[in-house]
Amino acid sequence: MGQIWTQFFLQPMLNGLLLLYGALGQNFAAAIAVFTIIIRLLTLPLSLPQQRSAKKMQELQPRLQELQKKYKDDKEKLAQAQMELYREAGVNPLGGCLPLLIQFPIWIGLYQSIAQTLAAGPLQLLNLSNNIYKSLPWLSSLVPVKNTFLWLDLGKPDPLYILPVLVVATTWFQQKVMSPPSSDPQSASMNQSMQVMFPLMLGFFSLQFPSGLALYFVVSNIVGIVIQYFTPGWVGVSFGKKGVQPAKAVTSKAPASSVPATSTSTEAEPAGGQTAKKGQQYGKKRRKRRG
Amino acid sequence: MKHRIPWGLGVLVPLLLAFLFVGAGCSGGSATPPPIWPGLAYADNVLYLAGLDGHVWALDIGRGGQELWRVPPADSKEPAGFHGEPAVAGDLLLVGTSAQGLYALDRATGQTRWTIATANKAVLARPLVSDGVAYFGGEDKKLRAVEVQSGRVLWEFPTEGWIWASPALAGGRLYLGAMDHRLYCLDAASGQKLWQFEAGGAIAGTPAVGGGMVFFGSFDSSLYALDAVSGEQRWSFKTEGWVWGGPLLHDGVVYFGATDHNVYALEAETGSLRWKFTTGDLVRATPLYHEGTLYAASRDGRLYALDPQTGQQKWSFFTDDPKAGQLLSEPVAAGDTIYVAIMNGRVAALDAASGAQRWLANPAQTK
Repeated sequence: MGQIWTQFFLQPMLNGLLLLYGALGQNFAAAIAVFTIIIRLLTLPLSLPQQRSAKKMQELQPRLQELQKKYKDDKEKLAQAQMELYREAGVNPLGGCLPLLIQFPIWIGLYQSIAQTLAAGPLQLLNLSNNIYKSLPWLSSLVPVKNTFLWLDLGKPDPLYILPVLVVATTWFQQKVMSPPSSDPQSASMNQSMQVMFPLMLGFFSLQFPSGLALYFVVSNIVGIVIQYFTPGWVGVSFGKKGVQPAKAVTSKAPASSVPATSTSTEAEPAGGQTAKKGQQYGKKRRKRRG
Repeated sequence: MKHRIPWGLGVLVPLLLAFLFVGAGCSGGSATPPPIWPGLAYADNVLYLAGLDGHVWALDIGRGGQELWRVPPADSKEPAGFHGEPAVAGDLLLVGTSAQGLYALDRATGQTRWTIATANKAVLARPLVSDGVAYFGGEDKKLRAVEVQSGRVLWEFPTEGWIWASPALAGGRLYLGAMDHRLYCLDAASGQKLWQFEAGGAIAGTPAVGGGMVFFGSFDSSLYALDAVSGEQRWSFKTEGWVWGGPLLHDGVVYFGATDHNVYALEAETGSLRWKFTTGDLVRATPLYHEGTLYAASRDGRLYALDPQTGQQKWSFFTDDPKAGQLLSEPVAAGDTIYVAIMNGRVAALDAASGAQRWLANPAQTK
């Protein structure tokens, strides 16, 4: 298993990173930034279905709530009705999970390749020597990488704490724009605590980790924020833009069901207001078809 | 029924990533000084061991490697940062640290005599000691000449890369390899640069000098032979892996290991291959020649005893643990015994003729 991982994920990424480092004038910070952007863009086809699936699930929420009320005493019928609804809407309730899971190894491989390329000691460099392609021997002449950038030694934590602060800020903002406000108190509370805890956790790690990895976090977050802006749109913030209304509007504008369209995803879901409307529209269309 | 799957993943994803970040950080990217292989030095029936967990030990080889002293002491709360390979200099032991520079310890007691700071950068290379002067380089990219008795710095020479190997001295000239891909030739008395040679990769091993030539390996997979006076290249030999450790020159033959798992023997004059011996893993350490036998340590956990003429294996010693029992450091010979420091912190004493284990010490486990 370890060998498969190394051969199919770690080595291609590590060698790709070194290639970029050589192509970008041996600037490792630039290599990290460009490599992160490339990987994020390459995995876009994997992340978009997940976002779309989440969006569709969100749109179905009012109808699901209705079904729950209707069949609250018959779980079997409820499950059948839900499956029927999913089938008609063309939604696979687990459809969003697979692309997300597929992205895991890519993120981890990216992280590990950066950590290993930043080898700061003899033992780490020995490990690196195992993973450089023999068919590209000139890559070996690039190690050890020059790991200074501005005030940073990319192999050591940022002494000025600027990157950890940026990690916290960008992680928080990315979570914010990807997580729609939820009117379900339990979900809202958990979303809120995750939105605080996770950025702080990454910020704490960035205090210990080489600043090259903190740089990766920051670039990855910024790319995520930009992608989110141009795909489903930011959902957790309100700058007077379309699709950023808070979920409060949902609860007041969702007469199709007495229960608001509850957001239960922290990942890339559409705005609550839009969702509710679409949910109502879908419900109307469906009733019309049946009628 | 609410659909918790996406939300659950939303929580699990960050948590799993956080967990992985922590795990990977421990192995790949923490701010803790990077570990190195243990280093050995021998003098007067005492074996000195440094590295791994940052301690220095003096071991009595007459009593199965029993501890004479350790620095810092076992009950000390001082940070243990001795990660450099030790060198004996008269009644002193010189050892580099991960951040506090070079230490000169009293060989009898372990007491500190003097220290030289290196701007919080690691000193991993074994100092070269000659005529009361110690030459050592560090990750502050400088080579220093230091008067052994006083600790007074005589001169400094700046390079543009980390220095992970000790220099070689011959005919009043120092030959130093650095991670900036350069081999420097300096005047040993003044530290003035005489010439430099640009290799295709980093140089992490100590050069070998003899027969008017200087030999060194590089991460560009080559072993180079230069004219020791002019610095002009005589020949180079390409392997399939990094040449990390320094070469050994003996009787007109250059012996060295590479990360392609091989030990090579080349004709020093021409660079032609005499033989090669394949081990089970990479060979980092410089081979040792002792009383007609060549000893090569491999990361496969074996010390190989080879016939220097033919490359035929005489015997091999296995540490019984291919993972934790890796051999990355140079073996040391004293009399009819070969000592090896194992990555699991143990030290083995082997019969030089047969490879039979005489004793195995585990100083880190002994209080």
